[in-house]
Amino acid sequence: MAFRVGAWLEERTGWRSSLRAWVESPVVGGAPWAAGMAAAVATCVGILALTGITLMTAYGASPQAAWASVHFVQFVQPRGWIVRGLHYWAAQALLVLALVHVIHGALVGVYRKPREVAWWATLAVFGLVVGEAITGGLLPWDERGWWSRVVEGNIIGLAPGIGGWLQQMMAGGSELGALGLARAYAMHVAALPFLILALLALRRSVVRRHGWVDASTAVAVDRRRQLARNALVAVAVIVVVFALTGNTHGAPLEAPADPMGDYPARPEWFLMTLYELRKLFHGVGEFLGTTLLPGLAGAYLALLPWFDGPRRPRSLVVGAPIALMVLGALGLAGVAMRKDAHDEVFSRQRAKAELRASAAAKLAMGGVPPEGALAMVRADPELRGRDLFDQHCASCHVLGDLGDPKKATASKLDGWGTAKWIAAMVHDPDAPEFFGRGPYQGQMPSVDTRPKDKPEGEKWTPIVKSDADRAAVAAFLASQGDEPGEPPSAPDDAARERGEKIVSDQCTSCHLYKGDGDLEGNDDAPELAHYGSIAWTRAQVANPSTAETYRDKALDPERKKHMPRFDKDLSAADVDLVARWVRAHGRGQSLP
Amino acid sequence: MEKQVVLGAAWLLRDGDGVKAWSVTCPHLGCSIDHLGTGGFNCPCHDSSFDPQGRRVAGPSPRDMDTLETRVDDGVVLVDFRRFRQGTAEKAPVG
Repeated sequence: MAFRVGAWLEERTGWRSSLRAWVESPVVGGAPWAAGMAAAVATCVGILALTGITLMTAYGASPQAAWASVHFVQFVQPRGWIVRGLHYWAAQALLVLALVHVIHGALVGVYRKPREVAWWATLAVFGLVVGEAITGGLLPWDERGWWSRVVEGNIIGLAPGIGGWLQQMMAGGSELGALGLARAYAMHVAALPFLILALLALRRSVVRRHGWVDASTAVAVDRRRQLARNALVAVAVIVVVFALTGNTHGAPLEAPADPMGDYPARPEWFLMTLYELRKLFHGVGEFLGTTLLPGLAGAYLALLPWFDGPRRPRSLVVGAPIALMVLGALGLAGVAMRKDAHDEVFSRQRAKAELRASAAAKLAMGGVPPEGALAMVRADPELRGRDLFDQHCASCHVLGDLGDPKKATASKLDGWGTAKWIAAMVHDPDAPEFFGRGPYQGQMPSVDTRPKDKPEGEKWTPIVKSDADRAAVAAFLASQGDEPGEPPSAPDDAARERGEKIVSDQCTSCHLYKGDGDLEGNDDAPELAHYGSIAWTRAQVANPSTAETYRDKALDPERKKHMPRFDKDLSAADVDLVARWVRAHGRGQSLP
Repeated sequence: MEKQVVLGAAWLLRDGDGVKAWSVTCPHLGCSIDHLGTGGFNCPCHDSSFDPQGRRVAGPSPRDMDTLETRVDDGVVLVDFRRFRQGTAEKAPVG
């Protein structure tokens, strides 16, 4: 049946005989490994086209939809991550292979007369492939894509004459927004691929006319051998791209782009050379160094047919400059990456960006609202609470990975409000992780350790007589922070009641408990009722100097480095949020 | 007039009864400038640094941090947010 259909078609189109004629025609010139390079490039292009069209069926090119749709492909759609990963890794492979292909072509002299036009087409295609990588990087509308494009746009804006206009055209306004994304998308999926295909067709027609090498001197190779070799190369490329995809589970997706954020932007890896080159030039030289130098390199490659002549040594006019460019590019990129790897501030910012990325990805599993992924992230109490703590609390306090333990002057909040934290704190209040480096240093006595100013033999009574009593005090105070619906911190009623008795008998000469106490009128030690509850924490963040927490002298200017009040700087909702966040994370939980 | 639209971000500094403001956008190539614990400012992208008054100290930035006009109205700080062209020594508004 298949044979009869084939024969029917053969009679009308002649496909079988033309195919046979092509397969049986020899390949003139036989530069087999170079042909293998072309096959590798073509395989990448094929993967990119197939996966690209598949991705288009799920992508939404608007700032509200883009990140959410890419997240959907990456994390929700069955096998979507494979499609996206193949597209991403085939693109990286294409950049490397295309560059090697171009350099190899230059070294073997494919640009020579009469193939100059084919050479220019090759160079132009390479430029457009870089354009595909740059426009494609923006499409997820994540932090990395958005910030790299902002910086790249500003670099383009520096070009004399049309720079400013071009920048605005690409960004779609004075800021990179919805129009800029739509334009990048149109470039990526239609304009650039069309131009690339047109240039490849031009290149092919030149090659048809002249062959890749001079037919008079070259040997002819059996095309079937070359096709087999190409198939082998294609399989190898496919295996590598699949392996990379599996290894990274698709492709990276950072948090939704936040123009208000403090993302440490870096260019894509293939632009790292230019990034480092830029640092060598300042002021007016910046434009010269970062546009003129790469421009000169491009012009040199384009004009190779004229630099290379029969009476000039090729190693000097072709080999040396290309080796210099490749080594220079690799060296600069290496320097840039090395600097970042050793930059402590940058690593901290990277860690923050990665945390945001995974938090946003997790959050979006519950669905992204119509206002978009950025609105989703901004409204998330967990991420916002963390940001608030980082901005307002972490300069003195430590909690989890936030705050600097070496510079902290206030209590470490990991475990704050739990019986364990309280038991350790009442034993040694002046430990560096409690009051030891802050304004309350030396103010609170240990409940069970003899003070240094009372030598052995002098009369001294500990506040608690045994470890069991100290545990009872800790259990009782921890129970003050319990909220309805949570499991009780001190389920043992007897211990809690014993703790309450000790606290109200022994601690209220300085502390308040339910408004009573403070026999000595120090006004220094805080109210212990509801200590560690949401209400207590909120009151403390809003204003430490109320009867609910640290009382009259909490904001005394004499008390250096005291905790400030935040009710003037933060909205009531933010005070409430940061209080809940601190309380939850102190207990090793997160906000619901 | 549309309300609750996020336009941009600024660093604010109390200055007597008033408030000084600088756009967080780096005049070099537009990254977000961070405030350092030591009081100055730094851009994480190309390492331009600025003193606590927003004056250029080191790095590729062609000008000082862009100041924004502010007014304090009944305890609320109003900032006249603007964008400026990046990479030029002159502070030229865009948009």
